[in-house]
Amino acid sequence: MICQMCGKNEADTRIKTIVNGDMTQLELCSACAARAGYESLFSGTLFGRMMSELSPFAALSDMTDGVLRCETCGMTEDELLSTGRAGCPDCYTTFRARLDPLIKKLRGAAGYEGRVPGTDVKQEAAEDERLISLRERLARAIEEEDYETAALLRDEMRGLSGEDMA
Amino acid sequence: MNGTRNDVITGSAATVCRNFAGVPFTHKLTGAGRDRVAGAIDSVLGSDPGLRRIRLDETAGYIPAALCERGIITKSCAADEKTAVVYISPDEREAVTPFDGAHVRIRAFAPGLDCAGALERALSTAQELENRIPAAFDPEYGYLFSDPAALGTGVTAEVSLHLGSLAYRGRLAETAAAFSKLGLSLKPLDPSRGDSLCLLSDPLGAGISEEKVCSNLTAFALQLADLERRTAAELKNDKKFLSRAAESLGRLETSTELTYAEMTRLLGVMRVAVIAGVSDAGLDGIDRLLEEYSPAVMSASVGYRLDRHTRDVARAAAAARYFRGRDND
Ligand SMILES: [Zn+2]
Ligand SMILES: [Zn+2]
Repeated sequence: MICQMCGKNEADTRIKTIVNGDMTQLELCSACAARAGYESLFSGTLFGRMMSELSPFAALSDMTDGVLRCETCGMTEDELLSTGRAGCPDCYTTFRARLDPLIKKLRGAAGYEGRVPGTDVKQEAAEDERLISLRERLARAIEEEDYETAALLRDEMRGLSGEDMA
Repeated sequence: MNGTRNDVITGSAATVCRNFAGVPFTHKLTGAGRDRVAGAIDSVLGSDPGLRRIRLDETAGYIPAALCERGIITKSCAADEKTAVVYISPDEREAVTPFDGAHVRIRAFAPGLDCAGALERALSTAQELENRIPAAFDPEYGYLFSDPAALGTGVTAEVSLHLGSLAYRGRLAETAAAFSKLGLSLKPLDPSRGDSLCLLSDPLGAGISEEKVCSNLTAFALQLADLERRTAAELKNDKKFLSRAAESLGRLETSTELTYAEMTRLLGVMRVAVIAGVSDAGLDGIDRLLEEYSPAVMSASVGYRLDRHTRDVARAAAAARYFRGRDND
């Protein structure tokens, strides 16, 4: 097998990586593998560019032993699967292809609907309260068949809840 | 917030767990990494006027035990020598414990049924940390934890309830099983205090929003409180229970020594008798005895370590004072 990176030398190193969410292998010659291992993947090397073009989840791994490894905590896929616990937040990026089906199975297909960092708790509570009062006024307006007021209230509610109201 | 059913529901709590971005989770975090995270947390919370910094390794041994007994810090946190620092609000309604499961665990309490109030308090401290130290977060999964099953809001809500009637009727196990089908956990708050003081919690909110976690739990806590009240009402005409209540009152009035477990059991019966309407012993007084005469709280309030016998005698005397005093009213 010829090295998939330089296309010249005989490949003698196998590197596992995640490309488009699937585990795939790259066959490289020892010179290219060493280069990939020594240099940061995203520092502008040919290999780095190739990886980042291939996948947003390209392995941030230690390339020297051909094992997918989390760069932040050193966890390997085997370790992850045997303990069932991630070593650090970045493991969820490194091992996404393996973990994603498991996580979806655990919690069902529904996405995340909780708060995101940076949302102001107090402001959020105030907006919730305003939304509740608007909803009550809207119900009353509809009951009283005052559709002009209802339309205005609905616009105001849309503004508060970020346009996604039915 | 909700003044109803406070005879059954004693309090609410919300816990918010957070990890920081780019840092190994607690079980993989050692030495210098751990010190750096501790320093970052302290740089935010150490200057928060709403929180007091307590070094557990510099306090007397009964203080971690007392904090743990009142549910302010977890048992594992009280036992872990490496957990040197906790942050506690002066009103003891909020506590932040670093490296307790996640990088930080923020716990807030509210009296009665008020999960939303407890949640807002815990979340605002989480936000204060988040603004300075980026949290480990993924838009698709939510907040990140070492256990893939825990990904989501990082929020747990709890309600504590006195379920003495259900316990007396032997119906706690079936009730817990019914709640477990709904994904909720119902279990004794502390087995050493008997099985009637229970904790209803939503252990795994997963993807659903913090507000939904709270409103679901609130709805179920109200149902459970009503079930307990109905069960207590049935006991009003139960001869066996009435004689048990009379016997418990007698023991509380006359014992010269009471272990905490024994006192908890007797007061539990009296609580049910009050809710059933067959005693006017007063829930506030009963709850005060339960709170103030727990072993660690007693030691802490006296300021030194009391021996077991001294505690048992003091406890019995307090109970006798309270219940005999009421008879003379
Ligand atoms: Zn090559
Ligand atoms: Zn990792």
